[in-house]
Amino acid sequence: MGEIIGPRLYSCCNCRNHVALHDDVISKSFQGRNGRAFLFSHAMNIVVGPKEDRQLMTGLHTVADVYCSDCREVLGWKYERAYEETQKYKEGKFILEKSKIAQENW
Amino acid sequence: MDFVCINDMLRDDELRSILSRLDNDKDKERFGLVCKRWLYLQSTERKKLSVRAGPHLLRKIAARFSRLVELDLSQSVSRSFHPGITDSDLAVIADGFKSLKVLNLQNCKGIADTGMVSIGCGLSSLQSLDVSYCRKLTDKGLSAVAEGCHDLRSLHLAGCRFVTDGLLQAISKNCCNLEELVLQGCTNISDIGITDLVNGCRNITFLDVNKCSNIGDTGIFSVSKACSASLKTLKLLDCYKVGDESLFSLAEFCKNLETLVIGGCRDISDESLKSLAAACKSSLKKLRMDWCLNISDSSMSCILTQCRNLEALDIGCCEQVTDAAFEGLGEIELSLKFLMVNCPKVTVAGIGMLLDRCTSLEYLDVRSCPHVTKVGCEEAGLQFPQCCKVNFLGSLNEMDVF
Repeated sequence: MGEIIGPRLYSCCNCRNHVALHDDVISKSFQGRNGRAFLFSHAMNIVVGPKEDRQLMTGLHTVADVYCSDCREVLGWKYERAYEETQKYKEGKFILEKSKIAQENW
Repeated sequence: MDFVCINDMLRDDELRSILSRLDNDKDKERFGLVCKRWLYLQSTERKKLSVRAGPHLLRKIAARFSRLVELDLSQSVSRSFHPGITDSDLAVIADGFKSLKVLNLQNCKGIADTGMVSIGCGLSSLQSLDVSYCRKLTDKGLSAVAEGCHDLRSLHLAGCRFVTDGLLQAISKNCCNLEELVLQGCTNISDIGITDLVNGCRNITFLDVNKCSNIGDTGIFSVSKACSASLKTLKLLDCYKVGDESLFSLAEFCKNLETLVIGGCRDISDESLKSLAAACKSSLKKLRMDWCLNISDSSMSCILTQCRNLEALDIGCCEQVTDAAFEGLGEIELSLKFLMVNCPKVTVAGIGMLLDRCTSLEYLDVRSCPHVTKVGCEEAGLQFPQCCKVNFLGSLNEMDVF
């Protein structure tokens, strides 16, 4: 009977690098490029790419793609800036695609 | 024959004069190894230190470097389990470094109001304090700093989201020499606070209220009028309530304005921008106006032809701007070094016209321009200046220009 001690984590689907804590999930009902995605308040062991202005479904945003720091797999993006007032709550937060992350330590 | 020791004959100021002629830090350290007296002279000559230390070591440092003027304890931005500097460390600092003028505590996430009260009580000569991203701080602690440090010239409070108008009132009453204030991300402050602030602080040269979305025309009008002679830098990123009235007031009062950030101020229109261009044509050096959706070719053209000293310009996502904005520049040489033209309607032809006039260009960003590609520029035979970096796809380091 192994008892798993430690926080519930998400890791990169490709190389199992730990990238996020379950405690940091804000929402599970976001849309990524390839399906469902989660909104996180923090992400770790990731590389943030260059900023770009993009017209998303919810309006104009500056986003930066986010890569696993070990294997450089694209895991999602970070919201840098939002044009619409109602979208500003996302600033500084991370979208990680469900298909790109795996549960670890659960 | 009497034997005289040179160390007895030389006085402290002669030794200090010798020490000041040593350029090498290693040589200065070796100077301190000669004897206790030389160590004392070398240590008290030291003006600036960057450290990471606990309370015990801080006491020793305070004892040795007693005339320190500048102390850098800033930490890294990344999430860490190590708490870093604490309030009790700040008590040691407030007690030990009485001549301190500059204190950098950026990203010292562990500190709170108690630490600020120590600073306010102990460091009365403090002129510059940076507590950016020290997220626990509130009006209570920071008011104690304002009340204790009357000679404050520079205060950085970026990310201190609990700050309210109450603190601005305290600063206004106590720190009349304030020149530089950064309130980026202090989302609770409003026009009332800003108006109170400039009532007492009339020498402000640098004001950053980026992301303070409650700030509007009333507040900016107060700033323009009160700090008209001194204001050089004003940052209003994503202050979406700021509109034409603010720009008209800046044009009327602030003739020394060098840097203006109005990115995301969506209500700003051509008329007010034209009046600003006319008023600040010799002073304006940096203008960031990305996401200003109402701006069109007419005011863009005015900016380019009138603001001869403009070095940095960002017009990203100004959707109405077309190549026509860059026509009719005639023979003027533009001093532009940094240019961000991420506009959906601009094409290679427009970039070509700009390049003809911008011989000093160092950085061009067209990353989000759908019609401007590397291939397209090569096919059109565009000549980029010698040292110019061009960002087509975002593979280069970002410039922190504004």
